[in-house]
Amino acid sequence: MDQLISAVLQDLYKLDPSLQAQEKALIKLIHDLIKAKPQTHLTSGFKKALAQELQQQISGSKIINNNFMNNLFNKFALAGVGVLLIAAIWLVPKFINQPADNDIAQQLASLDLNGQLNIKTVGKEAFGPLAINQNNGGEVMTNQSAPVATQDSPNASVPVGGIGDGSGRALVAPMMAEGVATSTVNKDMAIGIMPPYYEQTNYQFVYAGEDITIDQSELPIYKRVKGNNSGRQLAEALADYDLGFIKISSLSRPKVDNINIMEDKKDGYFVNISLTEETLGLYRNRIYPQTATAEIYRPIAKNDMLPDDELIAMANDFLSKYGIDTSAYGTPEVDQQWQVYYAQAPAAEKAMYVPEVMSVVYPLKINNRLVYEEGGTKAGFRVNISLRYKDIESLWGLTSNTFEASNYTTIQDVKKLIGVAERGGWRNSYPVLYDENNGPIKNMEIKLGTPTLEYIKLYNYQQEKGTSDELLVPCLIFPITNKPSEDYFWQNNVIVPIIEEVLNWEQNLYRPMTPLLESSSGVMMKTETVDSRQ
Amino acid sequence: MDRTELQVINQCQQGELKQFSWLYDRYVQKIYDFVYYKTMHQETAQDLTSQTFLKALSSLQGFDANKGSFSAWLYRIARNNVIDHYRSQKNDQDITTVWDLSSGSSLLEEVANKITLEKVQQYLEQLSAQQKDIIIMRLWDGLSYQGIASITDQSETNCRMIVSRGLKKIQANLLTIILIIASIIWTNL
Repeated sequence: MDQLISAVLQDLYKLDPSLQAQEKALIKLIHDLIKAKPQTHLTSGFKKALAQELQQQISGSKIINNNFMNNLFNKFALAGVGVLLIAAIWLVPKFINQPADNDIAQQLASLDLNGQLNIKTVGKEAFGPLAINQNNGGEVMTNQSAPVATQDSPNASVPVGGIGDGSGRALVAPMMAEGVATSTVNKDMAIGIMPPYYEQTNYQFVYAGEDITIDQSELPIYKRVKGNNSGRQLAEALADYDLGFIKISSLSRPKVDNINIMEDKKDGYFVNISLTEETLGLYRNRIYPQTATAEIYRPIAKNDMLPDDELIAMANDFLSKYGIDTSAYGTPEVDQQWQVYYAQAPAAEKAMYVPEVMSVVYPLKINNRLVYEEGGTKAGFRVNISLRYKDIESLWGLTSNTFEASNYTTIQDVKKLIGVAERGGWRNSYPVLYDENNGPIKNMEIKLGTPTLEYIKLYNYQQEKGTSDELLVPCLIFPITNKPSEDYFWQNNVIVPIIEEVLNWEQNLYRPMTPLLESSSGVMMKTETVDSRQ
Repeated sequence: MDRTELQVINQCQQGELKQFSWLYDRYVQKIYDFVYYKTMHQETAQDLTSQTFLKALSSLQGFDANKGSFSAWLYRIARNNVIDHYRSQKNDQDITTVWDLSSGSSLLEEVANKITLEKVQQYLEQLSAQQKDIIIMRLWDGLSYQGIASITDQSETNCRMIVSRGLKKIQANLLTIILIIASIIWTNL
């Protein structure tokens, strides 16, 4: 201190040399002043508490620079327990000087969930037997299992799955299949959402395209690789922590399955990320006023419809804002399927067929080829736009796009393939209808144009695992060139897989719905299914 | 601003907010002291320190290293919080009237502190609020004139002038002169 005091005095004398005469008093005063500096006490408790408060703030912002996940974390305030746990446990030690544990951070970083296309080639027929023919994981209600509503039995259930694409098929993800196929509604309720009544017709498909050849003896089937064990590794990284409610380490084989995030604000978005399925779903968490307003209950009219380019621009802006990668997807397009119902509805009922939301579809492409769902619509993810609120309502179907590619033998016999197409495709959804007394009730020719080689998305149920593999299988898409306008006809194309093993798995597969239909004369009609192997 | 600090800030601005803990560890004591010297009240100092770091975290994207140091930016947030605190309290108290020594120190320390602080109070009473503010930053916080200028929206020259005028005003009081000179000691402590 003496040296310091001396230094101060020297500086002071430079400022005013006359002060040297009061040196003794100055030394005492400088000494007092040095001691006068207030002592502060930053308590460790406060420091830790503030550190925790900061980490919560950080958790609500951006966690790691990890595109898909990160863009979402950046946009959404934290509310999901999963993320909260992860972020809190990961960040708190950094502030409170506990031993640093980078496992959680590393696991989060390794998730790397995004929509980018990644393909790894594996050996021939590496996916084993394509066992789709054994069990599809979802029960389909056929005429044997589903009671059909009739006038005599008005409360009998009808399968909701049969509405919409007309197929009633359950070859979707098992959970979805279960939900769709077993959901039932009262007949009276069903009428309200059923497509308009249409006259029963037998469709006769006729190939009218050019000559085609299949040059490749083998083509790859793609299997989506998902899960990557990340949920389990993340749980293991968390297991060292006592979360208060429960010790994760006490759980047997813990696994983080879902992460839920929401925007903690009025009408914010709710996001679900499945680490197991590597999918993302998002919907708007609307809070409706308790007092009904006219706008909420006003039926959507056709003049509420927005132009396609405007819908697509809205969807693109949304995806850009939330940093959602679309590099694996083709040009977006608006799903206008609702117009099929609208056009054929009686004038008085048309308003019922104007949808609340319009979907902008971002079609998945693999090796520059489109991927189709079994129903003939393009596979991909959808951004749904509310026509009432003129903003984004939800986003569904976004998945990771990491695939393994394995070659399988193709069918080069084009005559056989066209033959399948002329029977309405490998899973003809239009049963041949007969009046027991008068035979087929009506015939209509459907012309098929030259097909393109694309992919169809199928689910290959694995009996042992109880899960389904998502497969993209090469197929021919035959466009329907004379889609009837006077009939209820939803189909735009006919699909024929060109992999031998897939085309042949029809045996023991579900049958198209063959309900007993009551003709106007009251005569019950039978249906006939088509065997594509013939 | 050293290179490490600049790198950390850049990382934070690019989304690596976990790096903010490094800045927090580096500055929490200084900011707490800074606020405490202006409030002399432990709980208030804690509240204002919390507000400072939370505000800094949420505003970090707006920090521009080309316009000044992070240190000055952070002190400025803290100072604004102190000003807002007094405004919201509609309280014209300042450090010469707000003394709270219940800070966890020993009784002996408290008594000693109280005695010395009372002396300081006498010295500071002769200064204007602006002079007190700047002198405390210079003496107790050990901030440079450049840093003080950034925090108070004054030019560096103006800060020197303010101190100089305060010095002349109370030139007869040797203790005040010593206070200013003592900043050299604390700056080098």
